[in-house]
Amino acid sequence: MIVEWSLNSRPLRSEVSPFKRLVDYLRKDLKLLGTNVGCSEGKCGACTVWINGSIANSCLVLMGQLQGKEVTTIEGLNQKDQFTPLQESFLTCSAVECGFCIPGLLMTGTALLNREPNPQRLEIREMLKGHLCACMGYQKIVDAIQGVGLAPTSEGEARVRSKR
Amino acid sequence: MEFLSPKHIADCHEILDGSSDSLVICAGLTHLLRFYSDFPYGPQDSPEGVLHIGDLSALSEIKDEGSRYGIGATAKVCQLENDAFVARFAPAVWDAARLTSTPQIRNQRTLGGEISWGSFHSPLAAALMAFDAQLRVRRGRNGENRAREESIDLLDFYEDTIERKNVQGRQLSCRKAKLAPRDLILRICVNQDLLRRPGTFSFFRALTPKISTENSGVVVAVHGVMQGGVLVKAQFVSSGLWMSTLKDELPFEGIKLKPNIFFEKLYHFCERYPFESYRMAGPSARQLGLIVFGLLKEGFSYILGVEA
Repeated sequence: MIVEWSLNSRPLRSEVSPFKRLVDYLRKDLKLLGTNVGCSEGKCGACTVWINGSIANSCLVLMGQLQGKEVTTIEGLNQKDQFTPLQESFLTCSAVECGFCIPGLLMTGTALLNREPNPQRLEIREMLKGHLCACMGYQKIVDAIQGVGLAPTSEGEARVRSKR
Repeated sequence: MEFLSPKHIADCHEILDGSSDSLVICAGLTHLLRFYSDFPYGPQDSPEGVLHIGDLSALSEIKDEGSRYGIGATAKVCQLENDAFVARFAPAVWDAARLTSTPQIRNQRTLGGEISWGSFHSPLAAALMAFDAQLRVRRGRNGENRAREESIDLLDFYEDTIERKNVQGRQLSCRKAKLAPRDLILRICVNQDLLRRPGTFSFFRALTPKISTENSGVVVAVHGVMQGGVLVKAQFVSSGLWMSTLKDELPFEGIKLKPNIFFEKLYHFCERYPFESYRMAGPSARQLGLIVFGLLKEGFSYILGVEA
């Protein structure tokens, strides 16, 4: 089957089995290894991507479903050679431990921040319901997502942020 | 094996009318891919093909149809979560949508899929049953009989249970939907009078905060009317893997909604209710009664504005 879709803002025409899962196509065929495979059951959220701007588990999507859809992976989140504010915040807050769950969390966190620039902690926790962090670093992950929306605490921080 | 993804409803009907019994119909695929790792094998041994209806815009609309409020079968759960009408007039359905699985899955899962999968602890099925929801189903052609549409109460949509087994041998008990091969759920309708009647209230509560296939519990949805601090009518639906689905009236018509009086009546009601006939596994009938009591109390406490 030929699937015409868009990946990271680039139109693609893929000849692929419609029954192949999106995550397998991304990792095995396109070698886009940023999207991780954890449970393959939609529980861990490591494989989270955006489909038409909404977060989805790529392990629960078949290629046949993607006809005409726009998919964004972690590789397409930031195509410049610099971190996004959320990536920067993850580093600042030391929210990255083993890093396995981070690409999925960044996709979800960015989707949340696009919708709500100043999310409350409860809102962030609700949004992270579909993610599992085996290192149990949830507190810092929530801090990092909330930190992006908070006003800078000092003049120095404001200057650093304005240079990004 | 073919993967058919029609864009128009007429094409979908044509495919259904010309297909054999082994055609697998799917939309969001979140249940099927989660449970059957070698999908499309699993639901059928050797399916003729897969009909994907998730992109049918005609079936995904949520709209006011005059006397009824219609939710298309392929409307995503997140659409219900973001629907202002549902949030205002059917808080139980809105709460149930918010508590369904994870945000990622809610963006993919369709209401028709959630209902036809038949989980006992499905929040949306329980909440819609409390609103006396009806399904509009297209029955596929059967021998000489042509396809036809019919309405069916959501409560009557299930018969018996079905045991699903995946490739790893994991078993799952679900309600068996009254769907034959080539049958298609078109939309789910709720009567507008039930939604817009002054004094109408509803709430939804789940026993466990993160209900999933492996983490089942009992869910309760209540829909009723109160006027001048007096309960005019209330009916509850409670459902879970430990019990079959139960829908009944709360016999408290005319009771003043003062916390002490009301909760005492509620407690006695749950203690004397014959839950034994509904219990399938898990806790004893008395414990089940207390669970349902706790959930009802918590919901009514919220409405009355008192601490649970």
